[in-house]
Amino acid sequence: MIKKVLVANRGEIALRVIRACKEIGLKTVSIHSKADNYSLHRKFADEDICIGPSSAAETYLNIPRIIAAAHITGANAIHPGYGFLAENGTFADVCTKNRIKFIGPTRKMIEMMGDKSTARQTMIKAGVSVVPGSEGILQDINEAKKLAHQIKYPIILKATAGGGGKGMRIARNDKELAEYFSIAQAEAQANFGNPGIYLERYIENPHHIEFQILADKWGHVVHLGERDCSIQRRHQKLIEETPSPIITPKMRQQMGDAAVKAAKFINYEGAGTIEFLVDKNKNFYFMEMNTRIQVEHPITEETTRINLIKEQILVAAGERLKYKQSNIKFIGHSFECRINAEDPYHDFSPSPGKIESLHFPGGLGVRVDSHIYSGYEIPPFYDSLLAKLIIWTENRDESIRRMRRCLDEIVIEGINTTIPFHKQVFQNRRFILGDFDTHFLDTFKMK
Amino acid sequence: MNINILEYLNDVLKKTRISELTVQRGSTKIFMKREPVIETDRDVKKVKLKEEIKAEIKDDQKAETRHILKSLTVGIFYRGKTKISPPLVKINSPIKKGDQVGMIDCMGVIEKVISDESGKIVEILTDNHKPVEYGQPLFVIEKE
Repeated sequence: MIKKVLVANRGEIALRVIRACKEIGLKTVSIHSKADNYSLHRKFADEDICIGPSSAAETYLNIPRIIAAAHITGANAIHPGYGFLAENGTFADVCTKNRIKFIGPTRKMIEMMGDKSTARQTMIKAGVSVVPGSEGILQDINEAKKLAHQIKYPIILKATAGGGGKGMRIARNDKELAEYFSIAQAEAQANFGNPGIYLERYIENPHHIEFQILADKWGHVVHLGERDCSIQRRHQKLIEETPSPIITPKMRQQMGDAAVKAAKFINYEGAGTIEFLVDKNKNFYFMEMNTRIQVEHPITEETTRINLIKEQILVAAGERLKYKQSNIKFIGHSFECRINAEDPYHDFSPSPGKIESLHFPGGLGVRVDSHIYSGYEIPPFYDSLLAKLIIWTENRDESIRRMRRCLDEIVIEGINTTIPFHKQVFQNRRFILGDFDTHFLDTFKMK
Repeated sequence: MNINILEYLNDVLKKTRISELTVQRGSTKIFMKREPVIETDRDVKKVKLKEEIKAEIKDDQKAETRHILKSLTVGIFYRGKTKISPPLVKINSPIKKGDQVGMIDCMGVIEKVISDESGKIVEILTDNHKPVEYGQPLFVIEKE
């Protein structure tokens, strides 16, 4: 039975978890680094403990120190939040071995979904559509050409050990494939020390659609609808919304069913997200699974009225999910804008410093999840997220107007923020019409 | 002189903020002066302030000669080399910079508590087998 939860995180998500615990009636412990001495999360928890100096490696990523903090405070559960150790299988395992309930899936599930190749194979076995491509490493150019003809151009060559866009090449015909094959191999070797490459069909101008799922240990899984996270900058999400302007009720059902099937296949437990790419013909393909709570979870809470963190804790405590799929209704529309300490006029460069004055918007259907306050000094050691501005209305048009109103009201002085960027996106014609994809920001220019 | 007049004037002085009073009737002159209570308070404050300054100076002098050795991790603090061995140092134990004065068990990861000053131990601030957090004062060392 969970009695006291240590929140192994900082910033807004630590506050979010502490609030959920208090509402359930659980005691809370916060951990903090010396750089976070003036952070709000340590003020709101029942107990607080300093575990190290400023660096993440010595604090929020340091497994022995976090476990020691749980032991000396008597916490019998750990909520990892997102980022840091949230998808670290070893951490989940160490918690279990120390008789501390890790509020999340098991090590096996985390590792199964964390490895791209294993996740892909698992999804194929589960009968969930994946982007057509090679099974394993390509031996030579002839094999690549043969496969490219089977799955049809354009294709993308990717490094098996890669990530972050490095070692990737898009080929639209045999000639380009022949040219890029050896280049991609050389880049893979140079960047990752492994020349292995594989190919997949290149999905042009896709939407990034993710489905929220909740699962208990009794094999009961529900999905809570989709989130459209296509407004991204270098794979960093900036604006999210639900429902997606491109998803029809029939697609929602199909994709939701696929997400539930995927989670059931791996006996998943807890809150998780199945990410899909949706092409221009509205075919959807499994991309990856996030075995944790997501930054953008509040928009799902707004349209389903389900407290995701609370449910996540309750299923971790062994309770049965109290929702059936038929109980879950999607009401209205919600947007989230991530307000970051970044300068949108200078390539989103980080802007740490002291918040001189602060005013958050309010009114019906307005929620701000944030850890900042007037006089707060943003430490330069961690991420740049300052606040999540979340709004809910009955439909997308009204949501756009409400978000514009809130962006006009919000004041954060003393540092540069992404507020001007959001203001301009919410005036952009293509965005307003829902005519965007993951490449939207490639052509978007700040005025 | 009518004593009632004096009592009356005394009341006037008490009830008002007047500090001095002179009444003359014919050749009789009464001069009354109230002790400056507020001034006295100030004087007391001044004295206290002086004492505090003196104390601060003394503390500063102490601070110059004293050093606090703090925990560099979170865990359970032990005064010995191992969990069951006797304390490495006691009050008045002389120590050198680099000497081990205790250990902290952070989930099986043992971090030695090493003195970063030479001198003698004058205070032990944390008991054996007690939880400590990062930055928690453990020992006061009087520097050489």
